[in-house]
Amino acid sequence: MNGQVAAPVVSAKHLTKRYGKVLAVDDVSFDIPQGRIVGLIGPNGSGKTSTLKALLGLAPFEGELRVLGRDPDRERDALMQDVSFIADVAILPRWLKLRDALDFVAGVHPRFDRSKAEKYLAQTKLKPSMKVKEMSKGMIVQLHLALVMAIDAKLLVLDEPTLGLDILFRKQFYQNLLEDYFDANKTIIVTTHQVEEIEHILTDLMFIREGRIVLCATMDEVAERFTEVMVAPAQAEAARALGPLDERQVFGKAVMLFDGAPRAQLAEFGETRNPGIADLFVAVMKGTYS
Amino acid sequence: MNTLHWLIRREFWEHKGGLFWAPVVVAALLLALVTLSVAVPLINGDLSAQHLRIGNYEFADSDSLQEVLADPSTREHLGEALSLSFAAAALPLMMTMSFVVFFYFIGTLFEDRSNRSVLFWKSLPISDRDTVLSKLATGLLLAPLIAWLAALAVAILMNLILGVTLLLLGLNVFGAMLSNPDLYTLPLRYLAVLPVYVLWALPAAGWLIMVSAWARSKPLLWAVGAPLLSAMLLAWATRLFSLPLDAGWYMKNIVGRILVGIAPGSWMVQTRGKFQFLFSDFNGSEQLSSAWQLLATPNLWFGVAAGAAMVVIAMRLRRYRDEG
Repeated sequence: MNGQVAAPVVSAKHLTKRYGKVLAVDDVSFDIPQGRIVGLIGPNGSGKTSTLKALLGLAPFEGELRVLGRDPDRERDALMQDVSFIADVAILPRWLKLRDALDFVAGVHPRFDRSKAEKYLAQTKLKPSMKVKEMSKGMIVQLHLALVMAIDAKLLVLDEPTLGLDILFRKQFYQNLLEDYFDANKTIIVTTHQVEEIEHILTDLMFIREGRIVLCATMDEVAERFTEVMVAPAQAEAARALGPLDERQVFGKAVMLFDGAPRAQLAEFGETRNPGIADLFVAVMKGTYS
Repeated sequence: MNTLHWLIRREFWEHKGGLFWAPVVVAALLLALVTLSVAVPLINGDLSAQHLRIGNYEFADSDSLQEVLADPSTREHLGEALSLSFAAAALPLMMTMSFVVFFYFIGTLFEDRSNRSVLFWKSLPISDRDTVLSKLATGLLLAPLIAWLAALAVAILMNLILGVTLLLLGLNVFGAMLSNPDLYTLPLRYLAVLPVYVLWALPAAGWLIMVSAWARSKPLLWAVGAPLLSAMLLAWATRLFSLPLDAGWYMKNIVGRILVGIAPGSWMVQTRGKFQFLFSDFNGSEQLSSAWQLLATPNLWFGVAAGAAMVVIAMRLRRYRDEG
C-alpha cells in the first residue's frame, strides 16, 4: 500500500503467560501484518485462548505485546474502539431484546453501522421484539454476527466462533466473513478445531503447541514447504530415506508428508499434492498427548 | 457520558422486574388496599368513624361517624393527614426498593460472569470503570428515584380516592389538603435527602458490588455470611480471651452498615438506635432535615472512603475476571 510497510497489527515479543506454575504461553514472538486472515491452530490446552486473551487485554501477561500500536493491558479501553471479538457464540444475555441490542451497540460503539446490521438481520427470521431467550442457538449466532460484522473494527478475533453450530451455519458464517466483512484494511485472527472449514479463507497459518509457536507461515509458504506424496510400496524405502514428517496408509499405498524436500525429487516417488491443513496439523502435533 | 447513559438503560432492561415492575405492583397493591378499606364499607353502608383514622389523626373510640363528620375540626385534621400521605406511601415502596437494590448489587457483577455474557460486553468499547459506575448509579440513584415517583403517584391517587370518598359523605377536605404546604414540600424534602442517602449507602453498595465482582460462586453467601461470621468470631474471641475489642461496635458500625445500609433512613438506627423515622412520626420533617447533619459526622465520611475504595477494587476485579 503506497509502497510503505504498515506497522504490524499484532506484534508479540517474548510473550509469556503463567497460571501458577503452569506455563500456558512460553516465550512466544510473532508479528501479524495488516490485511491477513490468520488461523491460530492448536490442540486443547496449547495456549491459544491464553494468547488471544492477552491480545484482547482480558488477562495480564509477561513480555511485550503491541496491538494496533497499543499495549492491550494498559490501554485496553482505547484499544477496544478498534478491536472486536467473538469469544464464544451464543453467550448473549438471555434478557436482551434484539431491538435493544441494536440500540445499545449503536449507542456505545462509534464504529457500528446500524443499517448494515439491519440488512443482515433482514435476511433472517429474527424480529426486533424477540428476546435472546426466545431464539434458537442458530438465531443467536445470526444476531451476534450481525452485530459484530456491522462494527468496522481493524482487528477481529474469533475464538472457536462456530462451536456447537451445524455445518450449514458454519459454512454461512465463514462465507459472510470473507465476502461482506473482510477487506485489505482489516485483520482477522481465528481459532477453531474444524480446520478444514477455514482452510480456503486463511492467508496465514500459526500452529501452537504446548505454549510455543511451532509453525508460522503464509499459506503460500506452507504450500511451498510441505508436500504430500502417494508412494507405491516399491519406492517406500527410498522415500522414507528423505525423512517424511508423517506417514499413513491409504489403499495399500503410503502417503508421506515432507517438509522442505524438493518437489521435483518427490515427484519421482509418485503423485504430489499440497497437504490439507488437517493432515499437516496431525503430522506436526504428533505425540502431543503422549 | 453517552456510554454511561446506555449502560444505565442496559441495567434497566435487565432488571426491569425489580426496578420497574416491583414498585408498580406494590403501588397498585397499596391503592387497592386503600380503595378496599373505604369503598367496601361505603358500598355496604357500614362505613364507621374507624375508617377515617388516617395518619395520626385521632378521635375518641366512642365517636360515631356522624359526630366525627360534624366536628368542625375534622376537615382541618383530615386535610393535614392527607397532606402527609406521601410518607405513608413512601415507606413500603422504599422498603421494596431496599430489597431489590440489595439483591441487584449482589448479582450485578456476578451473573454476567456465570452466564458468560461478560465476554460479549467486554467485546464492546466499555471501560470497567463505566460498567461499575453505571451499576452504582442504577442502584443508588435510579432505583430510589423510581420509588420516589411511585410514592408520589400513590400519594396523589390515594388522596383522590379518600378525598372523593369523604366528599360522598358530605365532607370536602380538598381545600384544607391543597392549602397545606406539607402536601408539596414533603416529597421534595424526601428528594433532598437523596444525596445523604447515596453517601450513607456507599459502603454497603461498595461491599456488595465488590463481593459480586470477586465471588466465583454464591455471592450472596459471601456478602452476608462473611460479615456475620466475622462478627460472631469477634464476639466469641473477645469473650473467651477478654480482648479489649468492642464486638458491639463492630457489629453496629461495620456489619450493620454494610448489610442494612442500603435501606433509606437506616442511619436512624445508627444515630438514634431506633426506626423513629419510619414509625413514630409520619411527617418526619425533623428527621429529614437532620439527615443532612450526618455530613458533619466522621462516621459518614469514613464510610464514604471505605465505600469508594471497595468500588475501585470492584473495578479492578472486573478487569480480569471473566469466568463464572
